Amino acid sequence: MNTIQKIYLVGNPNSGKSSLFNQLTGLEQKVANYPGVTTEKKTGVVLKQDQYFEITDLPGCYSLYPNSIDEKVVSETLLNTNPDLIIFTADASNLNRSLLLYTQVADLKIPIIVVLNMVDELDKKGEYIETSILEKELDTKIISCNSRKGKGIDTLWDFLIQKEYKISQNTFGKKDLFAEYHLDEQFSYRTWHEYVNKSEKNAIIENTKRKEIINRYNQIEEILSLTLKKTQKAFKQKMWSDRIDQYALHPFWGIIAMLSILYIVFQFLFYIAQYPMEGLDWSFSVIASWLQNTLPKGLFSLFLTEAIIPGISGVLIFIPQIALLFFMNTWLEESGYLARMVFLLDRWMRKFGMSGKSVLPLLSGNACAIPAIASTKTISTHKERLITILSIPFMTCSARLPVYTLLISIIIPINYQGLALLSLYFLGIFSAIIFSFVLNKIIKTNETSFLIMEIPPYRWPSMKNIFTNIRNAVKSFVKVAGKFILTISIILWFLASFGYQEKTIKNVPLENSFVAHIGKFIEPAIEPLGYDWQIGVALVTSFAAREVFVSTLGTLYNIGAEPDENTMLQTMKLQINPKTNTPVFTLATGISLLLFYAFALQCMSTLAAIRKETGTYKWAIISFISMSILAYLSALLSYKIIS
Amino acid sequence: MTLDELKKGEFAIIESLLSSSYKLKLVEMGIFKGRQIESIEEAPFRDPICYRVNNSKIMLRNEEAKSIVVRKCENPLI
Repeated sequence: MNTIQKIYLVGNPNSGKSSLFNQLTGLEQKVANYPGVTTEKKTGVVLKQDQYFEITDLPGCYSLYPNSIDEKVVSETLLNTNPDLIIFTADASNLNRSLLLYTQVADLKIPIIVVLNMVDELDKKGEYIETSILEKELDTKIISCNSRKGKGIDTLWDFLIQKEYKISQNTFGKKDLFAEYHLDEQFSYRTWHEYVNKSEKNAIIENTKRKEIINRYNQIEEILSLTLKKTQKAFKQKMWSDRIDQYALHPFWGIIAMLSILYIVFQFLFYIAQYPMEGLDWSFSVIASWLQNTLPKGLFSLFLTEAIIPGISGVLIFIPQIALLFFMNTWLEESGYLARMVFLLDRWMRKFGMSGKSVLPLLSGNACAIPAIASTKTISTHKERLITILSIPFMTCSARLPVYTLLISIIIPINYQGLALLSLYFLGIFSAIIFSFVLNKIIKTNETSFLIMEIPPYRWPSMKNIFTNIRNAVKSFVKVAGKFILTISIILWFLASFGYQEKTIKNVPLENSFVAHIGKFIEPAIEPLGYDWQIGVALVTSFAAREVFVSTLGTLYNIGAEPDENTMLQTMKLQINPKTNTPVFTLATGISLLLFYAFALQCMSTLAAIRKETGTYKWAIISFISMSILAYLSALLSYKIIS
Repeated sequence: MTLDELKKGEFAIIESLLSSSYKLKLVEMGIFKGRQIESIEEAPFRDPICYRVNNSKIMLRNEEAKSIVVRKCENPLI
């Protein structure tokens, strides 16, 4: 019979759990999104020797009492579902703390096996573990692995296939710890957790939890005194991690090193990403013109070349930058450097109601807000996380770049164009800071914020892990953002190609279409900003993704299907506003548009991401309205001042 | 004294934890009565501070360190 074996991976953060998951499932994983619960667990189904294994990677945690959204998933999943086996990953070089979580999980009486990772690091410290004694003390099977290098995985598979899963008969959490609760005859550690979840948080329960943890640590100390031995070559050598940290965590040199690393990261991100992006752009325009020439002229060919292909290319064009961004993020995280960045920047971030953990999401926002917002899950305080999420859309994401480049080349003299672009980046960062500062004053909370975080030893990231992460990030970007960008570009195409004429809906030129009506309808609102109705249309269409602004203007000013950059610039410079008889694109309208795009939350996918991560529409709506007002007012003000 | 007063490179033994919402989290990270703790690195403005405890490096903000009562010890237990 082919029943599916349900297996959970449980362990501390940095215990090599994700690498083990990647080794076991390879490319067979899917990232599951659980609506409502704002976190992810990863699952992969693997077929080995006619047997299906469904392997789930639970977020890393230190104990079954949760401190953040991702940790909560662990205890909830363990208490409410019945897996066939738990693979517990233990960090051999920090067995003490790994075993704390192990003893709690084992007490839930679920079949369990221990994978001992990082034995090589323990060896470097001059210590080794008597595995056979530890197996007896824990009453479980132990398999030594190096999950980054893939050692020991075959032994683990052999064990999984033989299915001799077994519940540990040792109970570590002693019954008398919980005696005062008169729980009942059938008391188990599981019933204790159910009782805790049902009860209000109170001092007596908290006290018992602490006693329980200390009691477990004392038992672990006894076990380790029997099993953790010094090797012959035992010597007290300063680990190289500590040597690096003397500089990496130094108040002065640490900051210098961090700035240099970030500089390199961003150079890399923009310079490398531009080549595949241009390549993709080029191949899509080739495909589109080929289709235009081959297919019989008609609505279908127009639909394909003007709605579907631009829609798909609007999604795919971001993939190189997102892939590179995740390459960088995974590298920073797995090497252990991210924790050092948190350490160096926490004090500054706190002034704005955020934490050191907000740094990476904010920086990622310079590439794309959607994965950046998703990466705020590790921030344990609700308020700090919320402020980070709401500040991210101010950062200059890559969709703003085409708009910025076009406008800057129209209105700014060539010598100052680079400076103008750089100032817009700083404007993004600066306004994110101001916005978070204001939010920090407005949002009230009773929750105490805290930062208790481990700084792991430096480790060489595994390429396999990096590539699996990139693949998952790209996949979920295409899923979340792709849906929106494609749908909206189809709707916009319809609105731009059809109009209401002679009492029917007909295929009409753009200036008579629904979109043109919308543009003319909103014209009174945008006239004070110095825009004509064509710009109004472009503002509406760029709602799918900001860079659509450029192609819409191209079509509206009748530049033809394949606008050359130079002809487009020339035509736009020559545009005359028929009402005032003055050029449309002056310094005043240009600056006003730039500011509008810097502040307006013109991105449906970002709004969807905010909704998903905060769990309510409330914050998506609030940030959309407040950013729109800010965009409108600053555009209005700058236009009035300059003109 | 409390942990935030411990200077870089000094060792201390933890005496008690004052009550706070993160007391349990501290205990889970191995910070409780009787354990040895060492201050190893300081961020700009001495906040947060990185400590070595329970065989690992943990960063704490001053606020958290203030809730940990310690006794300085001259000779570290190895």
